[in-house]
Amino acid sequence: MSEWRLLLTGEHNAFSNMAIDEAVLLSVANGTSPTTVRFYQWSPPAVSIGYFQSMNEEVDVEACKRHGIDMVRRITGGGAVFHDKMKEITYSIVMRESDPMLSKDIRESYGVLCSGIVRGLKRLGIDAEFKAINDICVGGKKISGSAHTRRYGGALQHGTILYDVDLKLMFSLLKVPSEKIRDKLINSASERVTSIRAARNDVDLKDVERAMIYGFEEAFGIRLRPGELSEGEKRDAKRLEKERYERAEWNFKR
Amino acid sequence: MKEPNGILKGSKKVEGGKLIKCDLSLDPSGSVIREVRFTGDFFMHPEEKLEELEGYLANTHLSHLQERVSAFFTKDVQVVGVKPDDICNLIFELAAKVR
Repeated sequence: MSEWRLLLTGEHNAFSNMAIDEAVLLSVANGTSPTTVRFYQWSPPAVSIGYFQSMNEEVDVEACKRHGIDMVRRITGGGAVFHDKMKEITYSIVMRESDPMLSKDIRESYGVLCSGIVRGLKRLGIDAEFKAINDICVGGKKISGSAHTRRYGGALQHGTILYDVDLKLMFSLLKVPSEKIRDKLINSASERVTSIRAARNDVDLKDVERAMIYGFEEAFGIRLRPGELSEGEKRDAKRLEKERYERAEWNFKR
Repeated sequence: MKEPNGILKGSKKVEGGKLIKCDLSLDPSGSVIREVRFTGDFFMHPEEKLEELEGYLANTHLSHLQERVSAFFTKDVQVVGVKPDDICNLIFELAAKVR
């Protein structure tokens, strides 16, 4: 059975979190690190936006500053996400682009890579299903969203699994396009989003992490072996944090 | 919606897909793109291709827009959540407002 590396990197700020994902992508792509699954949290809480989004259009920048919330732009596309402290689990999975698991078609790869999370949620007794393009839903409500990129010869997918949700705070930080709400014909956010806590109020974040590890192992027929960031990855992460993710030129580019 | 600086702003939520927003400015004739910028929660791979597309569409006559856009989306560019036609239609809808 093949072994992948498991990274439990704990809490970092937004710039460091995004820099670590990219540093791992670099090292996996060039063959110095094995396929890696990482779980992590955000401190302080943060809003991340997709590569093609405009911070000023998507995020109430002043409100984030008032609440001490970091703002970062990802190297992946997709939407704006509020990463609240102790209220979500963020994952990333990094493999070489040539990995036979991955289809050339990125839409297909979402379904494949999200199967680990679906399996993990089922382990918790939560009947989740993948919903194209990049969501996982429970009873039609979104519980997880993911974003995927291919670069340097590697593939990175990262995403969030909602453990609990403070919708009032979330919508005070994000500007939600009204078109999107209209399209879904649902006028209340609580009707579109759910969380693990809504289904299970007897599990903590560690339980969820354990279930996700099991889910990835079962879905992909692999073992996750606990590991650490390599020295090279730490160096790359520091460099990317300073040169890219901390900079307004990057975060407010579009 | 047209802003005082002449920039046309619009957006389209693709059914079963993503949201694409567009800022468009046209030349005085209203038929040639001067500048166009796209934002949204869609995906494009490689990501840098979006900026390339924006540059490539500058100075494009609207009558050539569809062929220019389809020529851009070769097998080396994947766009997810939005189709090339959605991009064209959004520009056409915005341009129609100034005619």
